[in-house]
Amino acid sequence: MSTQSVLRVVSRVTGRVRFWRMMEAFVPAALWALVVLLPLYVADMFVAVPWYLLLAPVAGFIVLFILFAAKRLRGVNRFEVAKIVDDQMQLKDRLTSALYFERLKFDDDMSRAAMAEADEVASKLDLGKLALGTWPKRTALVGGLVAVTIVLAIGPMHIRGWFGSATAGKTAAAKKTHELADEGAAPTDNAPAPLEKIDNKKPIQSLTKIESERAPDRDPNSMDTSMSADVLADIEAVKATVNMQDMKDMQDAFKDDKDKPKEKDKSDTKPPPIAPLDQELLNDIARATKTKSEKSEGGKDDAIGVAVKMPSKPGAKSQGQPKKGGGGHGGGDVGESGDTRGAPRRVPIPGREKLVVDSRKSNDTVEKTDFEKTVMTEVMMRLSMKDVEMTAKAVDVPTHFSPQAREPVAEETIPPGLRGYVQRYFEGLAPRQAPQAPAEGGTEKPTE
Amino acid sequence: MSEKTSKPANANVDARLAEFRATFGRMSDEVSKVIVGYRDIIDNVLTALLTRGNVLLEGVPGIGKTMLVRTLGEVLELQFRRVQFTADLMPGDIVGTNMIAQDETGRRTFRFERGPVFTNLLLADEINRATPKTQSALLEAMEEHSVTVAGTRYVLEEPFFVLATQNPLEMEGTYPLPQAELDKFIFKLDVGFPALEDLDEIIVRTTFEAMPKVNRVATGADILRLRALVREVPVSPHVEDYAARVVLATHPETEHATEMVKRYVKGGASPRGLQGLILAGKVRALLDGRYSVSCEDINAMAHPTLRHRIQRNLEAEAEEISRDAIVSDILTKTPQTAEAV
Repeated sequence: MSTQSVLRVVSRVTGRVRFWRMMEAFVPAALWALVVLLPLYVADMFVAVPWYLLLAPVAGFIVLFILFAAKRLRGVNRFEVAKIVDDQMQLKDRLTSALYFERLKFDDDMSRAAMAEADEVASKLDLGKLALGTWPKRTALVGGLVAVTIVLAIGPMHIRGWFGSATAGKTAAAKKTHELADEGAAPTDNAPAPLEKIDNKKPIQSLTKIESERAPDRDPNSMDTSMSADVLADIEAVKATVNMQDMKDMQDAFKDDKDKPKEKDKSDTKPPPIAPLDQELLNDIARATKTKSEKSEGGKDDAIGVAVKMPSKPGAKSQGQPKKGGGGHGGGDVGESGDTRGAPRRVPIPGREKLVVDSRKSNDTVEKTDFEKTVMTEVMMRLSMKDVEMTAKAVDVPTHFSPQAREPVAEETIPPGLRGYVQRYFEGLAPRQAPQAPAEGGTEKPTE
Repeated sequence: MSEKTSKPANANVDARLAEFRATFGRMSDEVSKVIVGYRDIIDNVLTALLTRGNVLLEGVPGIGKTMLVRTLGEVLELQFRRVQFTADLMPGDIVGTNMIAQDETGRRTFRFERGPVFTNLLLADEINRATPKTQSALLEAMEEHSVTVAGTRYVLEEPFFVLATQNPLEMEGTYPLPQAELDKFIFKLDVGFPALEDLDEIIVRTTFEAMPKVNRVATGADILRLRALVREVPVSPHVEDYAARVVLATHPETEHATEMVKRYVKGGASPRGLQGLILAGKVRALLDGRYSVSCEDINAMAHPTLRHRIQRNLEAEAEEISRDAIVSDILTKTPQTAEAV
C-alpha cells in the first residue's frame, strides 16, 4: 500500500521542523554567549580586554549551539515529524501509524485500510495551517542584546568615544610616544625615550647614513654639558695611563683631518656648544688644529665617530638636524664650550640603547655633536678601567650590536691612534664576567 | 498487495467497521431508553463487553446500576442472572455444587448443579458485601470464563460478562475487593449522580407510564463477531510504547513514574491493565471510524482502565488524593514520541 502522500507531507514539513528546533537551540546558546560578551565589551571601554577574551563568548556560543542543536535535532525523523503533523492537524496518529505499518510491512486488511486512509487524508492536508513552532522564550531579549552588541562592536566611533575617554587616556601616552618616535623627536613628560630597532639586515653604511642625517635628540643649547667630577677624574686617570705615543697618534689624526679642505662655508653654521671635556685633551686638539692649519696640509682622512644615544632631557626640544658637512668629527675631536654651569652629572642610560657607529669624512675638528662628545666621555671613562656606573647594559650590546660595531672597526680606515681607543671601547661594552666571549656573529677580529 | 486486490479488502473492512459502529450504536441507544443520563457509562460497559472484559460499577444506591445491567441483558438477547452478594453467600451459591441424585434404579450419584455463574450476563450486586472467599469464587469465571468444581472444569458459554456493583458509602460489614479480583475488571466505572435534566427525564419515563420497552438489537453471535473485529485492529509501535510507558508510570519504583506517583502510590497496574488499555483503545478507534489505535484513544481509556489498579498509600488517602488525579498526572507528564524503527 502506498503512502506517498504521507511521505510527501512529511518531507515538506521536516525542514520547517528542523528550523524551529534550530531556533530552540539558537536562542539559549546566544543568550548565554551575550550575557558573557556584553560585560566584556563594556569593560573594553575602560580597560584593555584581550582579543581572545572577546572571542571566547563567540566560541562558547558555537559550542553551545552545536550541543543544543544536536540534542534538539536528534529526534527529528520522519516518524517524529508525522507525529507532529498528526498532533497539529488532529489526525489522531493516522500518518504516524501509516508510516509504521509501511515500515514494518503490516499486511492485514485493517493495516492496509489504515494506510489507505492516511494517504487519502494526507493528500487533502492544507499544510499552510500548520503551526510547527513558535519563537522560543527570550527571543526578544536575545534580539535586543544582539543589537546592543552590534552597536558596541561596529557602531559609530563617537559612541565609543563617549565612554572611551578613559581609554583614550590609557592609550594616549603610547600613541604619542609612537608619533614622536616617528618624527624623530624626543618624547615629553617623563616617558622614556622611544627605542628604535636597528634593522640588522640593512647595510651598515645605510644605517650610519640615516643616523648622520638624523636630527639630534636634544637641543644642544639646552644640554647639560657639564661633566661630572667622576668623569674628570677618569680623564685624569686616562691621561696618566695613555702613553705619549698614543697621544701623538691622536694629534696626527687631528692634523690629518684639519688638512682636509672645507667643503662648505661655515660662516652661517654656528657650532653647537659642547661639553668641556678634559681640558688637557682639548688643548691637545686645539694644538693639533692649529698645527694643521699652519701646515695647510690638504687631503682627506677617515675618522670615526661613535654615537651613543642618550636619554633626552625632560623638556628638551628637537632642533633638527645639523647641517651636513659641518657635522661632527671622529676621534677625540671636540669643540668649544662656554658652559660654566655646575657640577656635571652623568645621565643614566636605560637598558637598551641604540648604538650607531658612524664613519664619515670630515675636516671640521670643531663642529661636534653631543653624541660624539658623549662618546668621547664614554671612551675616556672606559679607558680609566675604574669600576664606575655603566651607561649601557653590556649584556645587550655585544649580543645585538657587536657585529655592527666591529664592522667599521675592521673595514673602515681608522686613524692608528684611535683604533686602540675604539677597540677598547667596544671591548668595554662586553660583560665584565665574560670579557673574552666572542660576540654573536662576530667572526672578524678588529684590526689593531 | 496490488491496488486491485486491496480495494475489495478495504471494502470488506469498511463494511465490518460500519457494522460494528451500527451495532454498537443500536445497543447504546436501546439501553439509553431506560437508563437516563449515563451515556458514557453505557458506552464503556458495551466497550468492556466487546473487549471480553468485566466491569465494576461503583455508585450510591438508587442510581440505576442494576437497571443498567438488566436492560443490557434484554437488549443483547443474552441470558441474564443476578446474584445479590451478602455476607452469608457461599462460593457454591455462585458457581454451583455437586449434589447427590438418585436415579430410577435407586442408584445414587453426584450431579453437578450449575450456579448462577452459568449465564451470559452476570450481575454481582453489592459484591463487596460477600466474604473474600465468596468473592474469589468469581476469579476463575471472570478471567478464564470457566469454573472448576470438585476437580471438574466447566467452561462458561460465550459471551460471558460480569458486571459487579458496589456501594462506596456504607462500608460497614463489607469486604473490600482484593487487588487480585479488582484486576480482573477491565473497567471500574464511577457512576455519579444524575444531573437535573436527567432527573427530570427519569421522572417522566418512570412515574407516568410503564417502563419503556427495549428491543433486542444484537445477539451473542453478534457480540462475538464484533469482538473478533476488535482483535484485528492494528496498533502502531509508538502507541504501544506510549501505553506501556503509561502503565509503567503507575509504579513508583520505575523511571517513568511521576513525582506524584512516587509520593502517593503504593502499587501500580499489572500487564493485564495494559492489555485492557490497548483493547479498549481498539474499540474506541473503531467507534471513531479509524483503523488503528492512537495515543488519544489510550488517554481516553486510561482512567477507567487504571484507576482501580493503582494502590494509594496512606499519605494519599490522608490527603484525599484521588486515583483519577494520579492517572491524569501520569498522562500529562508521559510524552508521546515516535522514534525511528
